[in-house]
Amino acid sequence: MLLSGSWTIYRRELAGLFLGPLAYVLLGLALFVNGQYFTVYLKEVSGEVTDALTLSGGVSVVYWILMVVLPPLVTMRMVSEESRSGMLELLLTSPVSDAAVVAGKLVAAVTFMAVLWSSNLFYGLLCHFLGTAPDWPALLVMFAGSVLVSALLCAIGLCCSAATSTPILAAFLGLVANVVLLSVPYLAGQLGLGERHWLVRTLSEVDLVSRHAASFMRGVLDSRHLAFFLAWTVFFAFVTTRLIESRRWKT
Amino acid sequence: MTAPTRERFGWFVRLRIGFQVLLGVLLALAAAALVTWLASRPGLRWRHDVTVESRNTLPDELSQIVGRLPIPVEFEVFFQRPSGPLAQIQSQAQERMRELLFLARTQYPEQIHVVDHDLADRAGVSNRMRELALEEVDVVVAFTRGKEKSRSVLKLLRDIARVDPGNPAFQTPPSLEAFRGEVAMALALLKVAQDDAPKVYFATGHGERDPYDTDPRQLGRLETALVSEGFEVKLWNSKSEPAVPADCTVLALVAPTQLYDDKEINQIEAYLRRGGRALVAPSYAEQVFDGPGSLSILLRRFGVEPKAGLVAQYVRSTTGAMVDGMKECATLAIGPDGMDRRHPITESLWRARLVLPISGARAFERGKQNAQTVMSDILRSPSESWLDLAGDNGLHDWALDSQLEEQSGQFVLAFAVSFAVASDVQPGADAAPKQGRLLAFGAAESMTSAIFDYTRDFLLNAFNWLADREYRVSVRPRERNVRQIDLKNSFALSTVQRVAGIGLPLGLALIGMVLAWRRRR
Amino acid sequence: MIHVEHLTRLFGPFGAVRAIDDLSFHIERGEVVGFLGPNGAGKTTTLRILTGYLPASSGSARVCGLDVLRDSMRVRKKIGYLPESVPLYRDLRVDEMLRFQARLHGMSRSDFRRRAPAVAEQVGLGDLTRAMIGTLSRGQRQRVGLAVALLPEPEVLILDEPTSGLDPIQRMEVRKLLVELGSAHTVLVSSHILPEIEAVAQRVIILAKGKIAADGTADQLVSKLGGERYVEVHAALGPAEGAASKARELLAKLPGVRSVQDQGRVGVHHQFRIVCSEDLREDVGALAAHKGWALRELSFRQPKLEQIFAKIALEFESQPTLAGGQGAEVHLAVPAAQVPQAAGAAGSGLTQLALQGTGQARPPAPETRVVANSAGAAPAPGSAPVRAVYNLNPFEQGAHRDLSAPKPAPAKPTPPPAKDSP
Repeated sequence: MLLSGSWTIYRRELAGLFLGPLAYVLLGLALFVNGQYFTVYLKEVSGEVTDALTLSGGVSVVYWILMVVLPPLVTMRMVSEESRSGMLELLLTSPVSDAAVVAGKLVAAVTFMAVLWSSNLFYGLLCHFLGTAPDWPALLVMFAGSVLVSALLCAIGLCCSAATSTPILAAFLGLVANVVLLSVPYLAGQLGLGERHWLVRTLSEVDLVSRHAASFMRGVLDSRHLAFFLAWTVFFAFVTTRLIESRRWKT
Repeated sequence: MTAPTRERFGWFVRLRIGFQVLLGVLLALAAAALVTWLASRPGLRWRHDVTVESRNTLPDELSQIVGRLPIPVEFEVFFQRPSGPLAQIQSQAQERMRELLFLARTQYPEQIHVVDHDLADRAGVSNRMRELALEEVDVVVAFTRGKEKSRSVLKLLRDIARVDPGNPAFQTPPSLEAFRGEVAMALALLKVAQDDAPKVYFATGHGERDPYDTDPRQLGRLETALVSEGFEVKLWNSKSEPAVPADCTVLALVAPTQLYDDKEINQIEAYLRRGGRALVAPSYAEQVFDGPGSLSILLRRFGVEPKAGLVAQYVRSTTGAMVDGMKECATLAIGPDGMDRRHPITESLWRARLVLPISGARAFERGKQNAQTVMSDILRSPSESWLDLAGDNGLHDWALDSQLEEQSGQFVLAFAVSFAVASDVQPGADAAPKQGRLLAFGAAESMTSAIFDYTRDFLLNAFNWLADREYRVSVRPRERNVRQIDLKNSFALSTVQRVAGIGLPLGLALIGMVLAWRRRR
Repeated sequence: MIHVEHLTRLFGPFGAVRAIDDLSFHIERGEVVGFLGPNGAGKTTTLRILTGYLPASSGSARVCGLDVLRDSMRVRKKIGYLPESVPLYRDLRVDEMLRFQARLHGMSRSDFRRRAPAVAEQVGLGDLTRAMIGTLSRGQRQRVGLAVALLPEPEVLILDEPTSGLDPIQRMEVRKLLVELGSAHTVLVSSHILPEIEAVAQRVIILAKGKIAADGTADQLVSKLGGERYVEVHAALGPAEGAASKARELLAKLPGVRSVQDQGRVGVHHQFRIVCSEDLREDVGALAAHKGWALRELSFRQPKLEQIFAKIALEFESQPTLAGGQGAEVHLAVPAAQVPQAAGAAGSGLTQLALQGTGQARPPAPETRVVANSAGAAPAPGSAPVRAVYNLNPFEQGAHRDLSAPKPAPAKPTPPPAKDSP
């Protein structure tokens, strides 16, 4: 099996994340910010629960900042640090395929992000118990969307971690990559080729924020956006696998 | 194997591996792009709106229209940043329109293209506006590629949203009275996707109301609405042109104050018998009510019997009592109770719970009718109304007067009549209608610009029904379930703040501390 | 068990660096084989190829009859590998690390429960199983690493420098452990320190510059590659012109002498190496007494495995004098003129130096002594005091010590070496 052993890697990475204090520092900070903002949003949309939840878990600036910043921080150590400590050598000489290693690590990072975004479900539950039930199916789809976006950004972070030798560099690179990815539509507009140019139109397809993610945030399950996230997550995981593999034949 | 060859073999192999890996990555890139592309193909795409209110799905009616579009339609949005006293409403309307367009684009990426212009980019925008011959902002323009001329312009606070200006005296703030974006969009789609605009001929020459006059008592606003609805509006003068024009889709006879002659009536009847369509709105003027050359003659031939007198009802006086004898009695408010809930013209109004103001209306009843005629009484007066007959002086007293044998009860204010095309008429092309349609509408006054805002939906529905475009006109009001936390309930808000804003992160920090302490050695 | 055929591995752009070059060897089941070589000789590269971490540029390697590339997964199941860096998750407890390894190898729960205490016992973890790995000492971690490698009961155990960075007592323990393991596993252990290998391995493969320089048991190597026995003479011949050549002739005439090399003069002493088949010290001594030469050094030397290794490893043919007595004593003669004035900078005079083998404490081995006599020689007129830069461990580049510095550091294990592969 290509991915046998990834469960073990996944558990180990999860332990590495959640047995250390870093995860709780990050989660605590993120949730503090998110929680404070949720109250603000709730006031802003005059108490409309689903709208407030959509803001805190999908469309607000704070949400996207967390989304851009956290995945690189979570994934930065996963390959580069292990490569330095030699742990990667142990993993790659264990009866586990490279793909399984990458898959385990990626899913662990995504799990971390999922735990963060599940705070939104918690807010929903809170409102539910306070007497106003949110639009639960929409909320769940929103959560799924957040997880999918995180998966893509984590895969990119992992890719950066595999491409660099130090965690800090990986985090920085990942951050830059994420920001560039999110601003592709804007950058496409800056090319000055006009709206009808094929390149601009192709690039505007890569509109993560207002097209692909937005669909989920509105409570729509769309195969198109589902496929976008899954395909590109798998792609970056594939690249990561190849990058790790290249340690074997490069130099 | 000698050393040099091995050496070359070595780096060659690594170069090859490098290329293979690069190729693999490129293939994966292509595969990912392919999967993304495939998943958005109309046949393979699968979309499911899970929200409780399906708020992310276009109304079925609009979906049908979009689904049937033969060519993609471009929408260009020119919304400026709202300012002034209506800013909030404007931005609300803009947001909803954008959302609607977004929905349409997401659901039908093949058929609907949307460009949202940023008005901050003055040069670019004014360029584009010049290209599209636009004169104002806060509009959405719909057109098909290559046919920018026959564009449809939807103005924000006219076609897309209706504003209740509010009343400062009662401290009623302005509000968004109705959002009509769906309808506006549907009509724009139909208009721009259609090859030939249906033509509405307004009869003229007998004191009919003028569609080109901006006077409040004339039909200027109806004309504008019809044009933006995709109709072409023309005049037909029976004096100079005896036959009804061949390209006439709908003939409108609105409140003639002079009698036609028999020939003209026969011409109109012949036109209708061929499968023609007509809106017949008799005037309240008594002198042209009946007799040769009157519209009553024409209506009778299609089974509609006009009744003498004008419909009136009691009004509530300032003391609260129901009184008659005031001229306000001639103004009726027709609510859902007085509408046919199944007929295409009134169905959407009935659903939207609209109230239709009607004044100076004539009533009809079923007369001698043909077997192949279908008549629907789509508007009925309130049950306590009566037919007020003019006195000897030609004036109405607006009181139920038994001496004049005035009738009371419920009266039909509008009949929608469909009839089979006469058998002797050779059906020409396939496009030739299989049935004629006639709308007998008793309240010509309600068509004037003065109260057009309130009768607009009814009238446009009527014209659309007459032009066989009735499927395009339903409005389904979107009601969102309210899921609001009561912000005045300080308990709820402070609980949310305490639990979500402080409790949760604190709990996590605690877990982290406990874990760190437990695993310190 | 392990079959390596024509294994070559190139590194660097366009394969400029040949880490290992046409390596072929076979290791049978149950053998304990030492992989010996200086840093950069290709030991780690070879081991990595065997464990499937690196692919070879050409050639083939099979473990248990399986190709390490084609059947990589099955090979990995059969190998217990302890990389040099002893990678362990520092944030896990020892038993958690073991469980992680058990899961990686797909061991069943019952297998794990059986094996975990066994390996803990075997490597002497004692009551450390609940300790956080991050808090363990280097030696303890080494043991945990061994336990991790041993846990899945591998048929082949590959240990890369298992003793590097350990103190002498820890070394001894690890060595003892390796000897015990040799009975149950096929063990391939690499080291750049000869005594380690000699102590645990029946068979030694010496690598130098990516090639197998020698392969066999220690005794076989000595007898096969033994090289020359010689008598080293340092004598003051007097001021007479031509005394050196005269003395050389005289020495050459002694019975049993194959050749005499005049190795120049240091101070007043002339140095000769008399290659011979037997110990000629008495004859030389007699000759010296007869001729009135003032002897400073008269020693008979025959090579040990250590020197063979050193010679192979460093290709001493082109290097300055390496001379050794019964002990691992090295005399260093550096012509004062050849030492740059300010040769304090490490490396600048390195090739001028004769070096001594293992600079690290190791009880069973002969004691190390370094003698530098350039300072003892009469300084040439006008020359500054000579400074010589030494590396106590010849194979650990980068850890040079300036013996003429005011306060020489005490003989102490040098810091752990850097990775020895590019």
